[in-house]
Amino acid sequence: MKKTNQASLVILGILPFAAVASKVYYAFWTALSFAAVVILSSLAGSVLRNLISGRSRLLIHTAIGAGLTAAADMLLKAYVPAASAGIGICLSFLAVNALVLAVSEASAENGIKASVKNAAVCAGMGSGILIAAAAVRELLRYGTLFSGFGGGEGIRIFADWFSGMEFAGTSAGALIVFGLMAAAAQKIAKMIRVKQKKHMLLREMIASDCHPDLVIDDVTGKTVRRSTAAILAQHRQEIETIAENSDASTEANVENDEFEFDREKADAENTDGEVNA
Amino acid sequence: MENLLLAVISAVICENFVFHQLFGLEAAADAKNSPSAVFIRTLMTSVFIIPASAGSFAVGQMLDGWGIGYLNVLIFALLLAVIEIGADVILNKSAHTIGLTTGNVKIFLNSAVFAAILSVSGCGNMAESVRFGIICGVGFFVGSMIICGIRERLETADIPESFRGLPVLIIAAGLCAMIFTGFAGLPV
Repeated sequence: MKKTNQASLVILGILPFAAVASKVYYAFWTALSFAAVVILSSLAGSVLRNLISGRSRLLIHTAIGAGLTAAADMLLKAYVPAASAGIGICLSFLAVNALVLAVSEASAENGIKASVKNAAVCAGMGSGILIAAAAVRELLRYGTLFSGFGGGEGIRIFADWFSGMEFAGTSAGALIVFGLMAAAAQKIAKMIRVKQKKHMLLREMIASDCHPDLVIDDVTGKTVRRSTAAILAQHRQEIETIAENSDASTEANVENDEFEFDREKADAENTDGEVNA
Repeated sequence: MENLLLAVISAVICENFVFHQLFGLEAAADAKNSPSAVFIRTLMTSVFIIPASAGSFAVGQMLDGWGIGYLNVLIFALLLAVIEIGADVILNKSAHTIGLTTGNVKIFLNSAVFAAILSVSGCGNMAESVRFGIICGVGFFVGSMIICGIRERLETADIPESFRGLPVLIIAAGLCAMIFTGFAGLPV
């Protein structure tokens, strides 16, 4: 999945939930379900990629996504009924979500590890945007944060004088906050892309020996400055020379030792002969 | 007939499917197709919502009768997927409609149709579900066409780089939703 398309797809995928994300409590459970469905459907799609092909792929991926969505909905109704009541039927849209289907289709062409990593990145981005937008909306509408968790009223940020902006709780407010979050996400994604591209170009320059200051050391394979590389090369040459000289003297010493050993042996034999005689 | 007309006007202005409840917004905001293809796709989706609502009422009654009403999400999603695959086969055979089925959001397998299908459970009979389908379809079509018009206008506008594409479109949709909020409570 291309990076430029990925950001747009994440925003498209998370858009149906913008209306229900009026509090961090609802956004948290929606984001958790969203992430679980995206990652598990991608995992299932990559595991089954060799078994299904052609047009049946859409049917199988939809079935997997719908099954996971139904399971998530039932689990929320059973364990977090307050959140389920607040989210309503919006959670069911995960079954036909554009991002879930796109990630499943992409997983059909990649291995398990790459698919799950891609799905995790998409789910993380979407969940982050949703929760951040919900935090802003809850703050503007109610003046609190994290209300609903544990049945409590959350952390009151603004005092009682704050009457709240009712606009932030409406669909219009949701879209405007969401649009601003999407713009921030797009800016951050672009900054990361530029940084990665610069890093890649730098590595290519160093590898092709075009960089004015940096070069790859032949022995260790690490990136070092040219001056340091020259000093290292000089030191290595000196070490080699010393090693060669020490090898030569060692060989001469060994030959002398062998000659001494032979002479001692001959002297010993002569002495034995004289004794025997 | 008069009641139906008033209901349609109410659906388009006071309780618009796209701007009030944000159903089908991603279908309208998907910019992968040309404007004419988007128009045809939106029309097809809007028209399809009517039989989909009627069909979902019938299927929902059957599922409730068999005691498996909790599987409605799975069954409806599979039915929509089969229809989407059929449409893909039929439409891609026509030369002038090649590319109609491309895009991140499918024609029939999207949240607008799904929302209409799931909301039909509150209807009492088939006639009400068809009426509900007409209301949802008309509301979705009008909302989507407004967003398409906004998108065409934004293509030639000078927009900061971070806001280009979806962010400014979503903000513009929010401003439209603000306008439509002004009609809420209008006695129709």
